Amino acid sequence: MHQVAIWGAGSMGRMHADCYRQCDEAEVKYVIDHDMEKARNIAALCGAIPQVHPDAALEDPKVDIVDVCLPTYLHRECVEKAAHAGKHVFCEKPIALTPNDAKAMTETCKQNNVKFGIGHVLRYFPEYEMAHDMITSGRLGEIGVVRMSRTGPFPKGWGNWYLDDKRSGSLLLDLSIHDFDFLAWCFGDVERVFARSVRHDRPLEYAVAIIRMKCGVIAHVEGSWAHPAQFSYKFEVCGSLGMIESDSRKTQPLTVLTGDVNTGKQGVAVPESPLKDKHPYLREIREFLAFVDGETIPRVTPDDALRALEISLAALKSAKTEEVVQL
Amino acid sequence: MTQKGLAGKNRIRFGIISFAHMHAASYARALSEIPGAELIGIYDDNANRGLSAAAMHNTDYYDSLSDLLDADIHAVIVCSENIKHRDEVIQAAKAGKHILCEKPIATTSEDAIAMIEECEREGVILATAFPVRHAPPVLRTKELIDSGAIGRVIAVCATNHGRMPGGWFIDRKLSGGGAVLDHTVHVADLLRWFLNDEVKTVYAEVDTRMHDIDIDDCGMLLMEFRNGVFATLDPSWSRPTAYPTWGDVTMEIVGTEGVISLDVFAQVLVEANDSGPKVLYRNWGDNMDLLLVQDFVYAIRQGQKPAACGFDGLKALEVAIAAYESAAKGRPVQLNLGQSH
Repeated sequence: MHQVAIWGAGSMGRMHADCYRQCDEAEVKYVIDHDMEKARNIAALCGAIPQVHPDAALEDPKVDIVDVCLPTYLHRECVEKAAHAGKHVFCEKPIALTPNDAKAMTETCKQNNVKFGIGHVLRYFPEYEMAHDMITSGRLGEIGVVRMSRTGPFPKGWGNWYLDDKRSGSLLLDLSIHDFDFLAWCFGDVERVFARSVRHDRPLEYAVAIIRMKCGVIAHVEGSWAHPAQFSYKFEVCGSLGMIESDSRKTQPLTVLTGDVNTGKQGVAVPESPLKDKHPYLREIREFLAFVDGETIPRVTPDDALRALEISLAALKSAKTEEVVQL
Repeated sequence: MTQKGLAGKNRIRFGIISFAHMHAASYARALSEIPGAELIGIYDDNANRGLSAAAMHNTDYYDSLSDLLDADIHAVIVCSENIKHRDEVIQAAKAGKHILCEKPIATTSEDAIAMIEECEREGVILATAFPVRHAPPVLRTKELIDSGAIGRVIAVCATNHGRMPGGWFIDRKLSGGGAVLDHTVHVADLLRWFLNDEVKTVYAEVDTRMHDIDIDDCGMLLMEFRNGVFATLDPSWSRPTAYPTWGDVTMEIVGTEGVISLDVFAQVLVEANDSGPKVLYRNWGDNMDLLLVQDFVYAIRQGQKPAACGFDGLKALEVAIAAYESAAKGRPVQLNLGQSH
């Protein structure tokens, strides 16, 4: 039985806690957050011990996995602490804010002989996995154009860390990195990037990137924290033999409509797409547990996470300099 | 504009120059539906095509453009291969005819400018066929933007997808360009109109990746306007023939106070029928080609500017030309900012 310490009790910490609860081979022993109230709330979900300091968990020999769900700027410090304590580490995406940090974290895990997994969960979303398999099987022929999009409201995080580039790396690094990683997974390395981003104090941020892959594929990536609506994501892949398209707004099998039936006053429609064994976060964590057990190599390696980060940084550089950035 | 305003006066008599572009048939049908307009004849340098079009639309075929222009007509609609627009438009202008020219207005800025200048000299109207401007969802979008419904527009993400059309469209000597020329001009025109601004720089990737043809079938553009708004456009011929519809025009318009998601051709029935090969989208929205021709007829009658004139055709064309230049140079390209209207 793996014993896990979840470090960071935000929305990702909650999601991971819920997934471990569904894994027979693991249990959450600690939930660590500097905010005791938040740690307590998530610890209560999985019968864990809430902590404001990581020391007890890192010193507990029964804990073999630390799951880092903290804001990006804290990843390196915490991953390395966990690795030095001899714990296997699972870390939320993006791996870090700089390639240097990413490489150092990977190296520290290697030196301490602990496994290191990165939560590029998009690869575990069934529709993206299916698309990847269709693309790489050649079923769609030679791929010409790919469109990736991810839109939603500006995220709320502890201390508004998403607003601060020094902590979140901004939208192209935090949000669009999902799509950059998917492109690299399917098509390999990037040749060049041209990107633009815009902000407003609503707050909102919106960015687009045009990417030419080394294999020749032309890709468009749209990221938005400007859409005052439920988070949605879509993609289309067009090839010489066929195309596929997916839109999360059109693949929700159920929608809850509430409101006042008597007055007809409108409520909010909340769509859902429930999954069991195919739940992406659950599959991601199960694959990491199997990795720790030596049974498999996860589909996302730290090198993949580094490559996605480098695409994000190239897009950021292009948006800033207004020039084409070659990788 | 009302049908009533057009009725009761002399009809505007039209000639159509060439049925090379498939929109010619739609415009001919529009002329038959507009009470104030009448189709007098069709000239086509391809006699077979011209004769069958004339038979189909119950009108006369002319084997000489001069003869059509000598006939008793007020206006022409030019639907020839892109490369021929210049000479035919100039000839029609010299004959004193008002002109509705299919997009792209021409294949080079020089040609477009020559056409515009000739029409100005002769005092005839030169309209560019940008039918999407007339689609009610598009008009409503313009109204919403102008009313400030989403605050100030800061970015746009657009698509104008289509099928690979084949025929002369993929023969550079006749079309002057592929998907990027064919599909950039529509959205470039809408953006200029929506934003009331001109494109300052264009960056583009252009390639041939999905079809075995000698002209571009895909691309991706990023346009920046003078006011700093940026917009991307996917003009690719990326729709397989098996797709339920020909393509799309979509825009995600991001403002400081909200977002407008526009899908111009979303007003469809979905038909699955065992007598046909596949599922089809059947559009039940307004006929934008009809609205375009009505606008042109109205412009002639009132002596007013049409919704999109020759200059609008030129400015949209410049964006497409800059896209090819950017792709060749591998960097963003500045547009000529000297012109204004």
